[in-house]
Amino acid sequence: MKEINPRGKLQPKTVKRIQLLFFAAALATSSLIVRLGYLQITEAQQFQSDVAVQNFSSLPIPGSRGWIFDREGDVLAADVPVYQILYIRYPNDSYSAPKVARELAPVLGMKAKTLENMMLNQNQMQPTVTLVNQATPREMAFIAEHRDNLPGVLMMTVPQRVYPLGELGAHEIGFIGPIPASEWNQYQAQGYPKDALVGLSGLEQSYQSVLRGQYGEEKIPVSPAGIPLNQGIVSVPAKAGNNLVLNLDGPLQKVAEQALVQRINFLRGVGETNVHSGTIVVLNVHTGAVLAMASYPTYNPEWWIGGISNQHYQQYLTNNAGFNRAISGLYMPGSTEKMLTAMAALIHHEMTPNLQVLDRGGLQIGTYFMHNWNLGGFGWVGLKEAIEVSDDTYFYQVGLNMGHFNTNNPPSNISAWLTGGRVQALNQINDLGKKFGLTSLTGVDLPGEMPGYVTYANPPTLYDLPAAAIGQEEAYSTIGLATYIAAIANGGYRYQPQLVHEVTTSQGKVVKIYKPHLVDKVPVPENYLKIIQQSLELATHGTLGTATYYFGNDKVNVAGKTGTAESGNPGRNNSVFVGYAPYNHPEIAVAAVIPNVTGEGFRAAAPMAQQVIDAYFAKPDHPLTNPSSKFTTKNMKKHG
Amino acid sequence: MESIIKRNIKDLDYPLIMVMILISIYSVIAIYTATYGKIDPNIPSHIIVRQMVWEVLSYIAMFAMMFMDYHTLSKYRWWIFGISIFLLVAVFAFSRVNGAHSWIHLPGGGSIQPSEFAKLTFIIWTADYMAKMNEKEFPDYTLKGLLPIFIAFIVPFMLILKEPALGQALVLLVIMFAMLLVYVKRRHMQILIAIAAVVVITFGSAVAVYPNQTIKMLEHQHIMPHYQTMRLISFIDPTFSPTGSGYQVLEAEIAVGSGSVFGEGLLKGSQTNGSWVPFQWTDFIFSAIAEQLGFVGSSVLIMLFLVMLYRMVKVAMTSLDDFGAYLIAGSVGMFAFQIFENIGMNLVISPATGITLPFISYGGSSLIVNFLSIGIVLSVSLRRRTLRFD
Repeated sequence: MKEINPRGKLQPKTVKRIQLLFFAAALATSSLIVRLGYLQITEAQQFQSDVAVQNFSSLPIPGSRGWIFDREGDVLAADVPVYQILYIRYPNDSYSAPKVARELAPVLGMKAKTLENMMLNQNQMQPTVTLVNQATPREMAFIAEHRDNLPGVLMMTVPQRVYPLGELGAHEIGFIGPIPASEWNQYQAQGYPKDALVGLSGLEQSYQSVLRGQYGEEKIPVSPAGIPLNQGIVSVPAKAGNNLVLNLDGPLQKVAEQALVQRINFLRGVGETNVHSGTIVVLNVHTGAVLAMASYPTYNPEWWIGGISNQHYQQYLTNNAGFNRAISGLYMPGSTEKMLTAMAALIHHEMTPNLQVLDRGGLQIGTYFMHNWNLGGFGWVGLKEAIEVSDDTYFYQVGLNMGHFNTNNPPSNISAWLTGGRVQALNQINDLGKKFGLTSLTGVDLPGEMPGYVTYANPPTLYDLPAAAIGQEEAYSTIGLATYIAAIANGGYRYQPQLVHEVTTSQGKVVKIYKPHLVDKVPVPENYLKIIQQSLELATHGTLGTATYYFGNDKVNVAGKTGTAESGNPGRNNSVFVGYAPYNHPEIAVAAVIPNVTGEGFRAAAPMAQQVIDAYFAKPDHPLTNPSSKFTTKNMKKHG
Repeated sequence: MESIIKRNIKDLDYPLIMVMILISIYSVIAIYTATYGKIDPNIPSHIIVRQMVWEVLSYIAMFAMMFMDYHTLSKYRWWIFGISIFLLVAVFAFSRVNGAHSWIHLPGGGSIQPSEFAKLTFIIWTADYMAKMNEKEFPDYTLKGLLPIFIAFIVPFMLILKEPALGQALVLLVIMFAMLLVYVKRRHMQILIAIAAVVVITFGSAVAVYPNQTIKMLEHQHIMPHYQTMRLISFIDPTFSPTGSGYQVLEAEIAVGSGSVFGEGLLKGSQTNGSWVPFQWTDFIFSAIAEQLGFVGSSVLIMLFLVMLYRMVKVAMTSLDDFGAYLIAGSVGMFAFQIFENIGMNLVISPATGITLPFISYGGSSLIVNFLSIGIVLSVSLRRRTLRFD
């Protein structure tokens, strides 16, 4: 038996102290239970809603952009769904990326290190990173099968822009791309996310607010490991943007573009190596509807999808292919100016419709002799003949008349005239030009239109007024020229050129129709306009008409005027044609320009205008070709 | 020896053993559900198998300790204490894990955490010193007599602080405090409590009123490393760095709160099973229990701990001698502080310090040490009766 410890028991002090220790421990433990009760019973609801919020991964889903149709309903721009492969970054998950990268890299044809770097470092401020923009079926199948091993990897359907007809109408349709840094603030104010794609050119730009889709949201319940939980996905559906139905006539646009390219290639083929660009605009004379608008060189809007390649970008920059020359390019109008000169002189009573001028091949102004293009001269000519043969001498005289300059008895104070009568005459041309949309903006619904202008030469000269009278001192846009000739054709009504006919919802419901917008009625009396119209008909059908060579035997009776202007390069001229058809009941107006040709206008612009006019009237449903179809419902609807 | 066990086996504290088994069941369930199906590479492979192996080893260690006379510890106290100090130094020869030299890596993939052992060896050495002092003819209860205790404390304390493992160092401090509380004379006890109160109140109010200045000072004077001050900031304001140092605390709090009264059910915790709480199988294991089992399940666990402490204290009060009482007092202080601190940081009433929840958190060293402590308690309980009348 073991010896009993003499003390045997603890001191009372020790027992008390141990009790004290336990008391403190029990107090601390009880406080835990109180706190636990507070969190789990009083505050439970708050925390449960915290869980609800954070266990959803929210992804913005871009809404598809509105489509663009031509007047026949052919698709010019559309959004098609593509599958993107995304990677979601979670704040407390830095370890799954290398694993996922190793698993996924071979399928995507990438190096694991490159992919991992992309997953972790690309767009670091964004919660997700796009790994693949257009997933192939193989990639999609792989991800679907291995989703458990690919935490954070997600497939998402996103709309992508396509332009089914490629280059057709490229300048009018425009293209989309990331928001330029300089415009970010203003897009942000409209609720665009940083990575949104917006219209950067053409209708895509000018109708951005109509076309834009509304972002939806996909709330995916996931664990941080990327594994979706049992609850369902909460989707706020994205809303598609509205569609545009254009006045543009796809087939006619195609003819115009091809005619332009063929003409340019032809000219280059015969040695005109400076020719590299041109424009054609076709308007409905009664509505201002833009039926075709071609500008060369051009590009393919699809180049921008998913970021433009360097090669395409170089191609885009070459010859300024993105520049819509039809609205932004300004060209000297040459003889197509003469109708405006005549009208300005007539309405200001500086000439009568019966004015006769003796053309001996030119006009002596002070020390300058200004040549007619026909150095032999046409003898006595009246207004109609002057336009028919494009007599320069006649219009030199008209110009001088407007400035009250008598060549036989020049004003004694020449410098006073230069700032007085001369400027007054130029103003008259300029002001009437504004009414016709030549020296003002036509208001076409495209971005980047440039207004034409009249040059007030500085220092002023004796001869710049007569030069202005034959279109050597002005620069107009092709759309301005088209608006001008359309107003001459329709009796003086200037309509705003309009590409978009109507806006429809994604279901096809019409929400807005752009009715023809009459900008003004030009202040030219009807009888004067009639004379101009008759003159234009003579220019295309008269025995000496400058365009009779092309239009003399035409079926539809085109009225029009050629123009040639010295473009500034010696021996290089702008070739211009403006016209409309049919002469009696005009339907379409055409303006065409090819700069930097060496010959007279008919060699360049007129033939391609003719091709477009022929194509328009050759359409199977056109009443001139097929009278029975005149009142088909289709026509009534399309032409409003 | 044999005979004593045979005679006294009825005195064994069976309720304590029952409580320990229940707590172990909690541990296995919590670790299993907190790691189930997760791909976090920080989770040791086959964690649940490892934990169960450690549980078995711990129970073997506990019963071995129980059958061994705890007075044997007194005999080898210098050896035990010396080896533990050696291991605390040896730790610096091994690579850091999670930023601290806290582990000695063993060949074969295992590792031991010397700071865990240091806590127990400090208890053993100090209990023996105190008991021996009481038996002296002229016991020295003056400060001079306490000096060896301070020295035995300061050496492992500084080594642990150097790892750095602030939490473990604080546990050691609390152990000394608890043991002194039981041992010192009345006057010293009053001073001790006063000092503790002043330190806690001063520090608490400094942090509460001038949080930024205090934290800067602590960091500047190298009293706390940066990560620890960040934890302190995040305790004061968890939203200060919601994805950084505050993340774990915020997520754990949400887990606890969303557990509500009855919990979301095992493996159905959206926080726990969605792996929103990092390192949930160690420091934040309580949030897993609280979310899945709710207030009912988690307060039962706290009650089990309270019963455990009560049984320990009961054994201590009926101990045969002072040595047994002091041993248990040290363990009670150790467990009570760790339980309060760990659960407290899950409930955001105390800052995160890297202290594990005894018997529940994953980790072999702490399990072994904790069960050895219980083994000592059982050993004391087996030997408390001095007389039997058969």
